[in-house]
Amino acid sequence: MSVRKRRAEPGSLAVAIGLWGVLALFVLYPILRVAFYPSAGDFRAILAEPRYAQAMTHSLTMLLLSTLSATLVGFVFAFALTRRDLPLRGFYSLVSLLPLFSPPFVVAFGYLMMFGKNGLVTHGILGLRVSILGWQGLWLSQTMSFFPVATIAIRNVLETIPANLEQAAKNLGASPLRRFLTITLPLASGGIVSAALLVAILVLADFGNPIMIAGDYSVLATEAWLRVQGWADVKGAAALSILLLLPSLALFLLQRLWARGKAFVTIGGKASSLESEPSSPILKVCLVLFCSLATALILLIYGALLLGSLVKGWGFDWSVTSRWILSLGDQAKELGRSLGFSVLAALLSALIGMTTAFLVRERKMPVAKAIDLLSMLPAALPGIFIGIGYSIAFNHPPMDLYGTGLIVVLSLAAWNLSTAYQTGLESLKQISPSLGEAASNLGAKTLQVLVDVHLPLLKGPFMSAFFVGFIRSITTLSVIVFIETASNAVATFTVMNLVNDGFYGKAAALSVALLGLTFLAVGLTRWTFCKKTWSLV
Amino acid sequence: MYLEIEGASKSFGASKALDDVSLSVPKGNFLTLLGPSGCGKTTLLRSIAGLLALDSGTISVDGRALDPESGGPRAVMVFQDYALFPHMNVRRNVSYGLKLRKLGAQSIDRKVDECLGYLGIGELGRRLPSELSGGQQQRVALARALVMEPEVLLLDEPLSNLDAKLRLGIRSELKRIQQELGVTTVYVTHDQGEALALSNIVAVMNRGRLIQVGSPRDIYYRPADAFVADFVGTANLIEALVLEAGSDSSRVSALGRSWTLGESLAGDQVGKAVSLCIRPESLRLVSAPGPDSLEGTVVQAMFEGSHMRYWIDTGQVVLVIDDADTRRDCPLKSRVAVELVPEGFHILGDRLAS
Repeated sequence: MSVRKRRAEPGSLAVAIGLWGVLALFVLYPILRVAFYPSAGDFRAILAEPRYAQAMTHSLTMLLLSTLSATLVGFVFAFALTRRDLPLRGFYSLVSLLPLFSPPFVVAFGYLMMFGKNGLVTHGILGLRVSILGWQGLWLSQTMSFFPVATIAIRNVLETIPANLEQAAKNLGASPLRRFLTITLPLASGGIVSAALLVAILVLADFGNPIMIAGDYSVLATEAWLRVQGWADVKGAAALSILLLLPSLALFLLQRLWARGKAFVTIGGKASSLESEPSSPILKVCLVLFCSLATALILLIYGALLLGSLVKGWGFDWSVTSRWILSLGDQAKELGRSLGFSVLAALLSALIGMTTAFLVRERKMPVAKAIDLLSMLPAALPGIFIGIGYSIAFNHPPMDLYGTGLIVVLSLAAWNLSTAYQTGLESLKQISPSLGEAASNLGAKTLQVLVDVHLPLLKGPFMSAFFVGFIRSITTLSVIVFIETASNAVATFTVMNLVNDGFYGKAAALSVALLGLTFLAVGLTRWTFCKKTWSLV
Repeated sequence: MYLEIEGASKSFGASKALDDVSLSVPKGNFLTLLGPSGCGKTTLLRSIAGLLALDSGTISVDGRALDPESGGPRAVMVFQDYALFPHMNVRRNVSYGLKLRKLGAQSIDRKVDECLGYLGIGELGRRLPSELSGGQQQRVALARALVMEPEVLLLDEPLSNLDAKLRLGIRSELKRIQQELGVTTVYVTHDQGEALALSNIVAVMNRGRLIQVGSPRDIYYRPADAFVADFVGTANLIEALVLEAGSDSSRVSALGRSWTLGESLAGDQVGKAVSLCIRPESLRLVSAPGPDSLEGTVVQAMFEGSHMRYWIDTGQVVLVIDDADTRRDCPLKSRVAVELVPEGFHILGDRLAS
């Protein structure tokens, strides 16, 4: 495992020290700034206001409700997708991924357009004057936003359960239901809990959905934003974001501990090649109905956005217009910034995350434990916490980045660091240590080993880290909302403002453009880099 | 001596992986480190390769410390899983180390061609490792090490990932190559058959310590203790009483008989118990009981292809016997006679480990 300990190599040491500095300045420093920004008095003032006690209750209520529903939907969906004889399996799988590539508020926005006061379904078709503004709407849109995360995680677990276990149970005489209850469910339970915790962190930190659809049902994340917007009280917002951070940190630690304890789930490692049992007709019908309903609810969102960008006045004038599409030129700058900032942030986080992972794993890093912790930390931070941190830490000399693109890029990169770092660690684990040792035994130094052996093998993982970072960056609202000004505004921020001001058509057109851009970028990356991959054994 | 290991020690936490190991290997010899898993053989090999730093002790070649970076002698290793770089084709894999030495392109090409040709894989140069069979990967791994013209060649269980048939083929090829090139080789295995077949010198290790160093024949017929006797091949270990002790002959008794053996024992051993090591093929089945034979019942029999292996209960002890005559197929529970041939007996240095 450990590569030879020779004289310290100046090259790798310099890189390690540089990384240390970067992590300290761009991860640790903003966190500490938020932590020490509000005084005890600020906390007392916040806690004394019943409004915030209520927001806290709301946050926790939604945490419970949405986590449960998203995990449940995610599990059933994942279970359906592992049935190989499910009709339209590929279609369901593809559609269920769409919310992952979309800003979370797009879901809320879509439902608002369908089921709101002027909603196409509620008002336009049914002639009702109801609104889903409030916790019901929030519940629906959070469920639909985050169940795909649970689906992916749980599907991975379900697929690593060796099919021969089920076959052994069948051979011993167990019925399908019994097999599900005694084999599949217990083996997947660890993964389900882990998925639920992942979803919980997302629900808690969610800013986009509540700001769009929660109405008066305010949660901590939106209250922090309103605190700055309405009262220009950054101290109060910081205090609120710390209140949000604590449960988030707890969930994060729980998730890590849980994942460590349940390592046995990945026994097989690879998806088993044995065919699973054919599903019974009743099960098939139920699963198809379920998946159809869920995919319909997803497609409804995109239908609403597309339609919204084409009609004159949503809810009252349904005549077709090209006005909104044509006016996109006004937002070209924001779209360009979204794309550019996200590419830069994703590159930065992938580069730093993967290099850190390499140095930590090869134990070439002084105080590797602390670096590991620091690199994992951003995963536990709600987006608004990072946003507030950056707005406090870098708005004065010597690092006055107020209103610049740099502050957006850096905050997004910091936010994505953990994902890249973890991708790096996971893929390094797959590379047999003897490869690095062989190079070292043939005379290569540490950095040479990285360049010759690991980097070429990490191309695929690097692309996937870049890809995830890009998607997260281009779709986020929570991270950037506190550092946005007219001079560095990105598309998601503008959509939020447009919706708040009631410009649905313009907002819909901009959302469609942003989604189009995202999908295009995703397609291009995949197409360019999927030429060749090596097996990492 | 050429390869010189002195007082090598290495601990991982509380466990001693190497405990004061000293070994010397003359130039051109084939040394095998043999032992069960966790005995320290791989730790020693990796220390020679420079992949691990010893806690104490030194390793030198021709009086110089191993240091590939400053042009000192090299110990190049063939890894158990071959560790071929999956993204480089065969040529790039093999030339990798030469490029690090900053040799000219021409001389690198020449050396690589020569080496690939020598190992019979000249036409595989453009293939990726994933496009090679196990045996071919093995050759490429060997080529990558040999092309470096290392002072010491290190092999870490290189045959363990091959199927049984291929293993025998590569084993004999390995021996031929080593003899032809005369490269000093250190080989690690837990397979005693490989150790005996390949090496000039076998070093048996257990729990981080060197137990016995000697020629394959020494190790097999004159094991130092019960551990070596048991680990290398199959041994009948029988408790015996020392009647007379001498520097070139001693007398012991066991199983109701006594023999004079050409082995040395210290004088104070007289009257004490020792163990006799008797290899299964040193015992013979005979058709009629004679003065030097024991009678017993066949309790288990296995056909091993080249010989029959019997377990025979004499009443005092169960003896394992290999009978080269496979046509004599003694049925279970039949009575047979076993001839004891004292030439094959060896007195172990330690007491019988009960």
